[in-house]
Amino acid sequence: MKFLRLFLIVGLCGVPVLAQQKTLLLWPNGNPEPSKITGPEIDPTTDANRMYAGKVTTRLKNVSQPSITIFPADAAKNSGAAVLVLPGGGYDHLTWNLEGSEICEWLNSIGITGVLVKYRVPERGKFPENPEDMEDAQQAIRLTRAHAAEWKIDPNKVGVIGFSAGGNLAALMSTHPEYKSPNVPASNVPASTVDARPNFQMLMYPAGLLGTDNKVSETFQPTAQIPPTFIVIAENDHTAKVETALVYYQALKDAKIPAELHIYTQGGHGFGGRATDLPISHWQTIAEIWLHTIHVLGPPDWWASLSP
Amino acid sequence: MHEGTEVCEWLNSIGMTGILVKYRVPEDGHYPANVEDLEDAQQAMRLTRAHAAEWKIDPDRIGAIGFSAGAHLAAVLSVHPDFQGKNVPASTIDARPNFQMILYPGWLTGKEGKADAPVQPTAQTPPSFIVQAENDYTAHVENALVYFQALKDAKIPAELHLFTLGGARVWTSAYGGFPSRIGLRWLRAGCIRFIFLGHRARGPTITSIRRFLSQVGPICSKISP
Repeated sequence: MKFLRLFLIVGLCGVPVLAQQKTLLLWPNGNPEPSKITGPEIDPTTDANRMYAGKVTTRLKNVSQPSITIFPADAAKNSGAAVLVLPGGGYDHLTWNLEGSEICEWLNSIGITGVLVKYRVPERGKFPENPEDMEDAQQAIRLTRAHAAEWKIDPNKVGVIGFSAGGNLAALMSTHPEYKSPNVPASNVPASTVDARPNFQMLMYPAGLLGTDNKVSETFQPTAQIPPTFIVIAENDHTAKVETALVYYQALKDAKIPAELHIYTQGGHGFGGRATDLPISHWQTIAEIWLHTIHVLGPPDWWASLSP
Repeated sequence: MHEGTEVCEWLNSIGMTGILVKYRVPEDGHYPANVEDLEDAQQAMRLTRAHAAEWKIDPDRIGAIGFSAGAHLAAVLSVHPDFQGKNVPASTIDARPNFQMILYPGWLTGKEGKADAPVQPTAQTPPSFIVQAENDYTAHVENALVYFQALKDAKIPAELHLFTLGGARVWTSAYGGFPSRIGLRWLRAGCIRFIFLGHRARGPTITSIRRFLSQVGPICSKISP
């Protein structure tokens, strides 16, 4: 009976939360470019990469209908902040729950609305030759700001978190918020006058920021536009490489962008936000404090106990 | 106090013995120009190991935590545990720390963006944990960056936390209006308080350090042949 009651409580709590999620197509009148994707959307997960930290990982490939899914913060603890979540997957697929929906749930738990971005993959060619990823990211943040009142968020507290290739895309939109794709028509809604600059960025094991000379590549060279930045990477990440974070952090510092860098000894690549026995899996604790220090979240109650 | 006794109290709270080292200051030049600081650090480590049984500690789990100049001294000790002072009798007791925690270190940068020669990590350097604030204008954040890269090149497992801490401008305008004249000093003190005292249960650094310490054992065993 006790179990049944617990089951009912969990069920009743769970259903309304799920019901609040809604998905909007980024381009309801058609993508800026004709789709080159022929097959249907699939989950390319294999037996080899299905399980991580005791949970099943889901992925999406052949994404031709990009969208945003809104995970609204609970009204009782809504901070007014929102974060666009850009999953990784090497611009080949999207690591959908590990670096997507589970991150939105964490954001919800600290009073932040999560906006899960389904951007077009596989990508054919990089920005600026192929602007599809950037178009999707800009459209996602503009839609979010255009719906700010309706979704009860502050349009000046819209950040982005990106994992791996998603971290690459986050840094891209932070570096070139004024970019105008020639393929997006002037009649597009929301208009290009809606700001596409994130107010803060969190780069999780970001990939592809460096050029061949171990310097930040021209595309990602920090400008004064870059918002406060938070970076997490593992020393033994042989995919994104710890030097990417070190060099990018130094470039941010040289550009006088407030930045925070957390390098852990172990963690590899693609750990997402799942709990493991490694210290790195507690990065959300530090991220939450950082969100307080940059005033995206209000002062936590325990700050009052810190006398100057 | 906040870089000494209070740190020992924190260590006690997580079940560790703290050994507070009173080394000779002011120093007339630091290692290698003047070896008094290293001699004191070595002697402190050897005395601790010699008393291991009496003090109920494991002689293979003795680390060093240093702050600012103390962090530099910890880094020097890690690289030169076998240094033989001219006026010091030879000792067979190991002076190498088993792990080191480097808090806002100074004097670690040498020429051309490399670690300074006296602290250049070797295969002897133990697992390292580094904390620095970006807005530390006394011990610049580059100290931590350069030292971390040197550790990595030497294949020493290391963890690096560079905190923004909001910046003096933001803090003074939003939280209490501290005069900018004392802003920096307050930030440094505030940083330490934050790390070691302000919020033991939730402070990010305290959590990080605790988890780092819990990993030191496994890491050491992984890098041993």
